[in-house]
Amino acid sequence: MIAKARILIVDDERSIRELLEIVLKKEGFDVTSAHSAEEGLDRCKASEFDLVVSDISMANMSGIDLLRELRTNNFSGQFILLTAFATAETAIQALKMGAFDYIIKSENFIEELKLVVFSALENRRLRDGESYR
Amino acid sequence: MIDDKDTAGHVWCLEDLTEIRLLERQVRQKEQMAAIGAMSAGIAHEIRNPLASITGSFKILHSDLRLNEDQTQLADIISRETERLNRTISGFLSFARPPAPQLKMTDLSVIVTEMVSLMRNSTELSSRHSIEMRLESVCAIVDESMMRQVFYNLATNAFKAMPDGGTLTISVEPRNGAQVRFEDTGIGLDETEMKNLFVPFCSSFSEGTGLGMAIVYQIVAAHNGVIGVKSRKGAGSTFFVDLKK
Repeated sequence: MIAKARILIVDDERSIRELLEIVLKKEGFDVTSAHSAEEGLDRCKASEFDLVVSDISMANMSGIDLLRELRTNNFSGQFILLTAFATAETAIQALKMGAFDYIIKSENFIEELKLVVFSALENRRLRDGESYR
Repeated sequence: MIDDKDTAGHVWCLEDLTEIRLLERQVRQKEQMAAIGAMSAGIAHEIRNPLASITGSFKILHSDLRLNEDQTQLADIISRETERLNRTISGFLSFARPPAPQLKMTDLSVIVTEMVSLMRNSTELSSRHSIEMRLESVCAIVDESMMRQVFYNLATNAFKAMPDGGTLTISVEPRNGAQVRFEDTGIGLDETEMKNLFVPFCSSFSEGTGLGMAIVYQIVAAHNGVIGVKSRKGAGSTFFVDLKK
């Protein structure tokens, strides 16, 4: 059976969360959102997600911290980071920790994000043999 | 011999403080630019998030709606202006959080030549402008791409300063280490314009983001180089960049 891919959006910016929910639901995904990294961590402990899309700069706990925590807790899904601005150091750190990609919130980031989401899920399907749309 | 007021003579000590005053000014400018950089990173971050939401939401709305001619024009204004804001913020971020330079020994005359051929094919250069080059092969330890940006910004600035046309002379020579000079025959700068030359958004030109010269200053400073200008209102300007060999 082909299941809908489950995506968790983590961002403390309400507008970004709502926008990404609409965009990704329109693409047919099962989308949940969290307003902080701590809430994102709780949601990942409570349910399984195929992909987490998280902002980097958030109060208390960053997106990088969330990725680290999830990997420690054996999270096997894909992880995409969003950021208002990129630094080479953060990008390297994120990719070393197993983030699938790193997207800057520029004027075309929605189109870029959609492509990267599909690519991340395809990569997971090939890796784990899971099928979803 | 001692005079009737018990004065044997006078000793006058004269010290040239020009260099010290110049150094003090450079230190003040450096501190000012560092403070502006730190503040701008925070502001840019706060603007980019809502701007990304506006742009993304608008694009979806636009693709979902059937608009008449006037509505399409209004939508185009939103697109154009949000893109402009995005460009400004991107420029501001690259100023506020510049990447570390990837340094290697590079021939500055080669960078200038490449930049000029790029410029000859761009709209920055009109038929009323001409470029002269006096290039010696001089190497310096620089990030090639960053230095190309510096030279491009300085050349663009020179053309803006010559609205009625004129000549830009670019020289590379082994002076003070390695020196690249941009000499224009344009409108020149007064004292206030020179003081604010490298401060973001203090451009005296109406077009552009107002970050070109701030980025130039920052890149040169990241190379431990020196940038200076000699100018007089109505008599053109000469910018020089001194870099380590």
